[in-house]
Amino acid sequence: MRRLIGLAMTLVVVGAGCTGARTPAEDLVVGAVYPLAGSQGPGGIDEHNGVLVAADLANADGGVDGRSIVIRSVDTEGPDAAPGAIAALDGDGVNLVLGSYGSTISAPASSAAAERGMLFWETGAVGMLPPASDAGGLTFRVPPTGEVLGRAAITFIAEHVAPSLHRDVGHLRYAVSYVHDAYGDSVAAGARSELRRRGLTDVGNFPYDFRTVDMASFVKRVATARPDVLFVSAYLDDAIALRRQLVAQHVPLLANIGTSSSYCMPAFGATLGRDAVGVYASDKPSASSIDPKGLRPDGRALLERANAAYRARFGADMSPAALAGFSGAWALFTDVLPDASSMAPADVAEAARAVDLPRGSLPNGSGLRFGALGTASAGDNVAAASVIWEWVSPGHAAVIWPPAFATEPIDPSGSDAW
Amino acid sequence: MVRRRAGLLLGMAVVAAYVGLAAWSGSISPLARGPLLDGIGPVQAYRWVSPPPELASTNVEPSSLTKKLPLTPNGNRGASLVSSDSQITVVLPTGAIGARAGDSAVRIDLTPGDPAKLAPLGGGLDAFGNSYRIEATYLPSGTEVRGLGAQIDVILVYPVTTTLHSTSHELLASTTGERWKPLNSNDAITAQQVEALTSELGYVVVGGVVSPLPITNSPSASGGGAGNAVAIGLLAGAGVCLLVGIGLVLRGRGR
Repeated sequence: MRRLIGLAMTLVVVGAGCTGARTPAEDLVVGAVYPLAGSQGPGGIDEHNGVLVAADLANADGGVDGRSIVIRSVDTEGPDAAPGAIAALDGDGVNLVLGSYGSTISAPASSAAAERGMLFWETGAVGMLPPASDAGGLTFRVPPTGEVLGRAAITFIAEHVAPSLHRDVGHLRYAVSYVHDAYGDSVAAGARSELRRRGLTDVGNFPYDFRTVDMASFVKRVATARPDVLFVSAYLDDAIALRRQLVAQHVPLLANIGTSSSYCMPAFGATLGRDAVGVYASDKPSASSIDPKGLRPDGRALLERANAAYRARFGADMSPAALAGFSGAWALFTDVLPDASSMAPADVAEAARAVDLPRGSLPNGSGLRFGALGTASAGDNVAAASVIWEWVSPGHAAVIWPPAFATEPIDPSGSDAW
Repeated sequence: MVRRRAGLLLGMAVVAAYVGLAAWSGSISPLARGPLLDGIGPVQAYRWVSPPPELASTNVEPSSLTKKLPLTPNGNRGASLVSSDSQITVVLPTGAIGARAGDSAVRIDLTPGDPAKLAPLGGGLDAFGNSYRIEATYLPSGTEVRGLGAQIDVILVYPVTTTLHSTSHELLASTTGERWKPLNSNDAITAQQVEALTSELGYVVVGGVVSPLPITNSPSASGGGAGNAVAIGLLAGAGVCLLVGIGLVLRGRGR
């Protein structure tokens, strides 16, 4: 009997010893490269906070096969910092990296990661990725691409706004204005390709450098093309300046629709007030704007849980960037990593390529299915959801499309009609 | 004379209105940001004369700028010169370059360079990005402009990398590149640019005390996690077992 007791005690002590030998190395360390300061700091911080909450909740559910997720964050304020941030993580033995909010950061970060054989998981940036990023091989993007947002904007105007205003969509004139960089080029390319696909009248493309543009002259130039619909991909300050000039110069538009990084931002509506009313934005949803009825039951429950956890930790509802960060990271932590045969980048990538979640599974309305290797959408989430917002009153924007996520009806009467 | 005075008053009113509106716009901004030279657009990749190794493969050569300005009897008219990559801006007020007999214009050259080829900045400062040389030459004589009639405003963009990061930056100037003088600078850290007035032509560079970006872990490795509850239970059990075992051994020996 005494031997049995001794054996049992030995086993417990040995077990405890093994556990006591647990080191931080047993945690699953995932890198995070987001702008936590600088010009893109506000959005980058939100997206990063969403990632932190996703790690909190995943850890509360048992982590990844019992391993706690630790987020190792490197403040990456711009494209110059991206290669160094990736190198620092690589030097620490981290080979799974989340990022990056900004398209100008995403491109060099994903390229540097792929070059080092690391996996890069994009949670927010929508811009074009260079071939060096090995999209679909080692780089995966959860949010909709800029091209998807651009196409959705044109589709919405053609299928919903024009008919409700009793205008023949084939007779409308469309112009595309965009900031000329990785983000703006990508979104504008989507808008133009949708115009071509639908055989609509493209009356001009207007790229600009947001650092040097003279917006009064720029808008004069746009006006000479006499567009009925003006599509805009811009950053916040240039978007506000552009909109102000459209109003000041009384450019007669049937509709003005923009995209992420400006037209859907609270600061856009707060700054412009009445001048923003009737303007549309094609973008990602925020936690408080999406109708949860459009989500699947698991996505709905997760949205509620995530938003409560985010509020408890950061004192606010999740913005579009925070929700994108949460949804992207959650998908990696709970839908990909547990199915990977190891935490090696190639094995995680293989698990990512095999995931197939229907739309509405994630709290931002998206599903998760990556385009196949060798296709144009390799590494892009083809089940990503986007929505259309409208500034329905001064300072207040609502999701109006698609119907599943809409909280208010489309109101084309608020369109530009001065 | 009356017209000139009216123009001056109007100009002063415009400047006052601009400054007032700028301050007001800054105070009402939803982002609580600085009102001038600021923006929410992303910082573009810096263009280096001598890039750090990790950026060498993607580096683009920085832009130079040469601009010819006509001269009036009062010297140059006000002008703002911006390189095509926007990394240097020089604002010359009217009369910064004085008139010179026989010359009808002045050529301004803004040329990026490698600060490592100039004197060290001193004061524990490192150079952030390129140095820039600001030169002015009278035309058609080709005579070098040596002095300024008014201070010129210089704005330089600077890079931020994981190893080249600072909480504050300043502009330094040097006529010959042999000894640097700090200028009273405004650092717009969000826009990654610093501005200062200088009364000399020659070299300018951004300097700062390097403080590497921190790398943080969250949550801490010791906090939360699925394995921790098991570990705590096992350790507590081990403690109890150890005490029971010692008791059993002592009891056995006592027999």
